[in-house]
Amino acid sequence: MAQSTDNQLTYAPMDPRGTMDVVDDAGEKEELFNRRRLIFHDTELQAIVDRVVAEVVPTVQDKYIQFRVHLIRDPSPLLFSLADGQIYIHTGLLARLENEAQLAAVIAHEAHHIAAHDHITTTRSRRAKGQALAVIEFATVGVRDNNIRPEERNALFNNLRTDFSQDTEIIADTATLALLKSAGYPSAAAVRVIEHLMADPELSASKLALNDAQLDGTRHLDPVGQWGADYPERLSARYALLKDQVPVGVLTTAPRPLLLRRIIEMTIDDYIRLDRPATAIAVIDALIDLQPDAFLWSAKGDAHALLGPRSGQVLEESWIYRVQGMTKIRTREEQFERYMATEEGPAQLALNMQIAIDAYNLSLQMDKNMGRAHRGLGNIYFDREDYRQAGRHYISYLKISPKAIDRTLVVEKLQHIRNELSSQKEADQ
Amino acid sequence: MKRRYWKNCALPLAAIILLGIQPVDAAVCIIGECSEMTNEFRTMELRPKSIALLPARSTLTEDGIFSSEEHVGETALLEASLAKQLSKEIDDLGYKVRVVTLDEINADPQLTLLMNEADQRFDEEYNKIVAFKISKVKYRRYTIGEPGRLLADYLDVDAVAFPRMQAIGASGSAKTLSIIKGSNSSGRIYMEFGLVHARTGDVEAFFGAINQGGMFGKSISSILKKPDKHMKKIAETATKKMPKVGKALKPKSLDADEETRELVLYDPVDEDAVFDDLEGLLDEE
Repeated sequence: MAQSTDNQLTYAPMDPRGTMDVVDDAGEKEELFNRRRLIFHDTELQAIVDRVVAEVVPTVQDKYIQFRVHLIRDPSPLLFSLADGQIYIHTGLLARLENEAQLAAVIAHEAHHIAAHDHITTTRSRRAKGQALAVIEFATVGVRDNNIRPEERNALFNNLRTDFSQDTEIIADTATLALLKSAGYPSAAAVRVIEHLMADPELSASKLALNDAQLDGTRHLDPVGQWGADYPERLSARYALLKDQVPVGVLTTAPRPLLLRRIIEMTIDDYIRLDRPATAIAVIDALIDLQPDAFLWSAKGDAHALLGPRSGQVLEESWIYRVQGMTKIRTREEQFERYMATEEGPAQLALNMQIAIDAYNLSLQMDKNMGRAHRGLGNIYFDREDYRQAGRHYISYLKISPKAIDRTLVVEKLQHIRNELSSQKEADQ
Repeated sequence: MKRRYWKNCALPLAAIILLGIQPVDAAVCIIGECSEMTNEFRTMELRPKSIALLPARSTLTEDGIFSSEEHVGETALLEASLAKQLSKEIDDLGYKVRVVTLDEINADPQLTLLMNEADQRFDEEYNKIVAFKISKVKYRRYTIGEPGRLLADYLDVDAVAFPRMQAIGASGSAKTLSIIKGSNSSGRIYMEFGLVHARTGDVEAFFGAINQGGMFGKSISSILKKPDKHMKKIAETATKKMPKVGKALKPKSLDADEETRELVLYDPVDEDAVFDDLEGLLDEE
């Protein structure tokens, strides 16, 4: 339990007896994350994070708690913590933070959960309820089938996150203000973080997914959507309470002195890689409004090219659907065909490709050595069978990025272009 | 959700039920396998000679009557043992196996990036294969695409194997209950691996196995006490239908009503020749 004395929070130790496995599991999970290469290593960023951790985390007397922060490469703006002091921050959350004070706010929030033993108390309460339910279930149904659904097995982090009650979150928000103050950070940073999350494009995408599911009776099976249905309301309620505790006049919308620019670029690339172009576009557009540059325009081109015949107003995360009790699976190509078969699909494709071409050209105007813009243009012209244009752009790309990770694929396309142009030449003769 | 592909268990199970020996079901150790291949894999048109075996991704769960508990730390032991046993089985079939180790991956950021991306894409397909339609493998419905091809190219192999495993051990109470009920307890191991070909990026073959039951069901301690024994058994079973490297199989007839994804083959490229030719061709207009 946290107590406040002279603006300092003090936390009483807790004997984890009976739930020691929660602490032990946390250690094992750290090893597993390393083994699965899920922890993102970045010396510069880790140094910033470690410095903030040293300033903001409270002193605890529990020997099993050792505060440390790990980074996870994931574009979603999330973080979570484990009972033994581990805090995991997604790179996507870092990309959205404006400054170190906001980083301190998110770390302080999770550090409070750990110091106040929220994981242990929540687990104890949940287990007590779970056992009671299991006895009823056993008496009525028999032994449960505990086989984990395959799609759930891979949602490692979803299963790890302890969902605290709204009351627990509100207490943690208040404690965050105290921890920020004692570390010398402005408490308004905590409010600003929640503002960011409330306006986040991913939250809008999640709402869209729910709407989509309700509209056509499609059940979304892929647990990529990591937000609970009531999350926006819960967040708004927390924001209202927190805002009342921050001195009037402190809440100013600062320009965005980006914490680390390359983390933002990585997050945009990750959304594109994960086939979430609509979310990528929302993030890119917000940044282009502030500070347009060659990278952002080329990334916008990539995202629109990926969007293809989709409008950006459709569910972007799942290829497995259950419609009226029947399981339907669509490959990415089939999904593409499905959209192309609609009335709007071909027009939407043409529109997105034109936006992509314009964005790539703007990117090249700003920086003629922006290789990915050449690659993007190459891809569009290749699909349009304009092989001469495609060939020129691909060659420019490989000249700028001779060790590109996708060199093999581009060279294969160049071979195809060579063959096509040779055939055309022979036919002309 | 149960896997739906244990077709090869169907006959022994039916026999047990028909013979009226259900009460002694607990004594029966069920071992089943599943396999599905594209016709190009079967006929050797797209049969790899060299295979990179990636580190397995596994879960280990202790199934109780009321709840289940995840054992995370112990999965490292099982994964190491599986890599050893599975590579031996595939090697015995004549394929050249390149075991990709964790140390190797951690020392190479480029490999880490390629692997994470390919693993992620494979999981997307794996969830569909295991939960829904393994039979669609032969219709070439599952593809990792470019990430799979890039990884195979980087590792300089013809195909990449992505192993996945789920081990579930029965707790003491679950075992006791199974004896009282005379039924199979819930202890079992599932293991599957998909083979993604360097020239297509498609899942050309998928092999899997289940090892379930025994007198008192599998317990976590029995699995961990002799991991090599259990992993050997599951690897042997999973590769039972995997053809030897040089042995062609008859193609399977494909249902005309089912959509087959088009086979797109990518051939090795003579880079210098392509660039030389293109220089002239692009300038001509």
